[in-house]
Amino acid sequence: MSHQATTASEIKVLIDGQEARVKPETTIFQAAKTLGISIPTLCSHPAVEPYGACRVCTVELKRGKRSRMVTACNYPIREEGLEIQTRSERALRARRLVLELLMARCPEVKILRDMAQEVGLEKSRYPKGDDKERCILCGLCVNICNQVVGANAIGFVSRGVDRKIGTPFLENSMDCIGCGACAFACPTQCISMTEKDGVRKIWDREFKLAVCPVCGNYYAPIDQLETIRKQVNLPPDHFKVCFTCRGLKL
Amino acid sequence: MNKAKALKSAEELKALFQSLSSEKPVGKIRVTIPNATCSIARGSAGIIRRLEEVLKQKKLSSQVEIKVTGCRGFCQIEPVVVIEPLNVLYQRVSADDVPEIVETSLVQGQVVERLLYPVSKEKRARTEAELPFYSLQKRFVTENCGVIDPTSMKDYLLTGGYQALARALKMKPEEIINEVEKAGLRGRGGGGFNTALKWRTCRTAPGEPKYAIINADEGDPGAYMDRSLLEGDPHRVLEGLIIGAYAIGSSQGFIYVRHEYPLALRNFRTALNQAREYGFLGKNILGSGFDFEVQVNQGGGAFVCGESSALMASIEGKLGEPRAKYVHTVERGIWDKPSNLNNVETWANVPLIINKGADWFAKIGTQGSKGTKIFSVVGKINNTGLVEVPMGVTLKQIVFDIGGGIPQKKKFKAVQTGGPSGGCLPESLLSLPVDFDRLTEVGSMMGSGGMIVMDEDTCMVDVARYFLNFLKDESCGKCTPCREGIKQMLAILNRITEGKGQEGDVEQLEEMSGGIIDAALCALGGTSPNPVMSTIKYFRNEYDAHIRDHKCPAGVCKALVTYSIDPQKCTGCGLCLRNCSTGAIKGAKKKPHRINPKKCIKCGICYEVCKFAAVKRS
Repeated sequence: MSHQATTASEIKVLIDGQEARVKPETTIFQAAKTLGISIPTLCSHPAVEPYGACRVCTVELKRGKRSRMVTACNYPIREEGLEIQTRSERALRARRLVLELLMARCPEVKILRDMAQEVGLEKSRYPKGDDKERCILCGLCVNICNQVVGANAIGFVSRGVDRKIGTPFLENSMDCIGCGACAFACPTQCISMTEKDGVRKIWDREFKLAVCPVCGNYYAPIDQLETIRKQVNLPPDHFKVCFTCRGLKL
Repeated sequence: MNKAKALKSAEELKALFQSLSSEKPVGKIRVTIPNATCSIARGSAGIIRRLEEVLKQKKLSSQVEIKVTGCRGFCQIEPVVVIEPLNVLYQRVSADDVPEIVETSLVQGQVVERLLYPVSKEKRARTEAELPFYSLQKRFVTENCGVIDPTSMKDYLLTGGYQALARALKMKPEEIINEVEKAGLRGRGGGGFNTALKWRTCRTAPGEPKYAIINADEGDPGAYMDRSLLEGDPHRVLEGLIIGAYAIGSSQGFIYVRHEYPLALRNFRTALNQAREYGFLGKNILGSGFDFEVQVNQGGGAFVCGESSALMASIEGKLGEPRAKYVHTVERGIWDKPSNLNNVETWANVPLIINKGADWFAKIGTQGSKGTKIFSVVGKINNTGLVEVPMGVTLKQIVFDIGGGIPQKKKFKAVQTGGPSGGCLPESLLSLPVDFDRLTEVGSMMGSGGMIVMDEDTCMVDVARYFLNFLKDESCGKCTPCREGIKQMLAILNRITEGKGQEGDVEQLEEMSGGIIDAALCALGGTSPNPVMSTIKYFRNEYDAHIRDHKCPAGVCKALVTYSIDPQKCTGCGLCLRNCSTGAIKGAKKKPHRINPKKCIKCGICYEVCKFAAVKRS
């Protein structure tokens, strides 16, 4: 985050009855982690800014007598006297609602069923959606592509119930470098990426893979290697040899 | 007017005001014609054109000043023509009435009786002051709307315009914030947040530059007070913004106007250019050392962009979707800089507070809600229009005394306040004083001031379904509870209105509402269950009738309604038969007719047209 905490002093916070001391601006999620408390989440990832879209990490935050619901992934702890309950009845009700809705949307996604079971939910009461639908619209792929890869090849299309993930105008994106980070980060493995005969297919585009002159294996899309090489200003033959062989050589 | 010289001090403004005040009027007679969006829709532009032609023909152009203004609020009687000094208001005027108006009123100084507003069968009102619609109103914020030419800086200056700015620039910023605090001004956009507190937080938040923004992305169905203010008195809104920017310490302003408001945008742009010319914007405003500029941003049609963080994302050129506001936008808003966003009406209140003082302002309204509020009163109501009343006026006064009650002597059923995320309030709450806190207590909200009146023919389950459908379309889709939750709640409501409701549906709706309120990301999602919850709370019997008895008491839900003809009452006149678009009605002349249920699409036209109450709806 761009904002720097002005004070380095630590803040005391109570999570599920346990005390944690954290630096200001630490998120509830991070603070809980220091105590070994894991809060379920679908859309957050250490590599990107918390997005707060899936709402699975909703927890109950108490300050004095006032209680409110916040998402653990992006709530910054900035003051003393906060008491957080990650599994209060109200927090579990919110989490159940979210998971029940997502299960209706994506009936065949295992991670949802596992998470739901953890909060005592066996199946969704809502009308089932398309069995083939696996995207929960957590946005992780978009955020990885934007913040980590810097390619901005995919984004959100339409709004509300029609929202989906796609390339601009759902056409082949020339900004995509075929790196596959989106597919790798996806919590429900819904982004299709295949490799055959030295060609990787993703987002309806084909990417030629580079062949390692040492081991003869295909190792990464040429577009990706070129983009990274130019970004960091590396010599032309920097990526000539695959990562494994380069490691061996060193 | 020739290009004005930028004013360099408050004294120069005062001198300009005095010289303008002493100018002689253009003609002996002034004809005022509102020409805002609603008036234009009803033909005001044609009236103006015709009037200019007729005056030219009669060689009267030099004696008559035509003043084209914004909206006067009473949309129901548009187009309106006001003539001074004759002091008469003509309503529902058409271009064809113009020659008579010119001859009778402008030449002979007589009144055209038939164009006066009928207060009752016997009595017609001659002036605006005599109209019941205006009787309880206190038009402070809208005082210039419909009176001055919104494209004329001179007109605004003559009302004392920009004198509040001159005064404010001689105050310390903190003094201005204190004054706004003492006045008790709360945000008019929906949340009702304490304006001074917001300004102070923004002022003291670290980070430069700070931004001051006008939220003109008014999107609630049936609400148009902000549009009317921008169309009718743009300088007032701008003056409020400049004062606020000075108080906050902001050098850059924005206005975010929805795409559907072209006239509001045009008039505001004109105001911006004039303000630059006169030195109310730019460097060293009125010699105070304060610099400020304003940039215009147009929305692309998304309702959610009225939400502060989505609006700011949109200004940055990003996808217009909200983010968590655990760190408020007044601390980290546009480009992570402190950003203060207020609604059009909130900004328009600021010059009033500076000019008349916090004490004056705080005397109007209730304990927790000060000043006036503009409401757009629409729906099943006789006097549709924009109403400015002191906070604390009752719903009954707005709906019946000002609004003139329900057309065709139908019974009042509910009033929906606060836009799509507001709630429906029943007859038993009509005596409720309208302010921020009272409305929230009863499960609705002030919102931006939309009021939709519903009569006995309204099905409350259908109303909940309608608003949820709106919210389904307008949800940005970022967070799960709003995107998926509204969809599933809507599916249940659709089921109920189709007669397929089940026991437990209402309880499930309530359970989902609680979860969505807790888990949704932004205020739009968090308040989206309001229409459902308030209709369940006050009209539970209608839900039960749909689910248990498979009946729609108001006769709205098509799946639950059947039409039949009572042979005893039917005279065989054939009116229903001729109006039926699907040929579902058969019958010989002067013999009782019959409806074929297989062909009937339940449009209800037979029910509407029958003069003998022979068509039964059940």
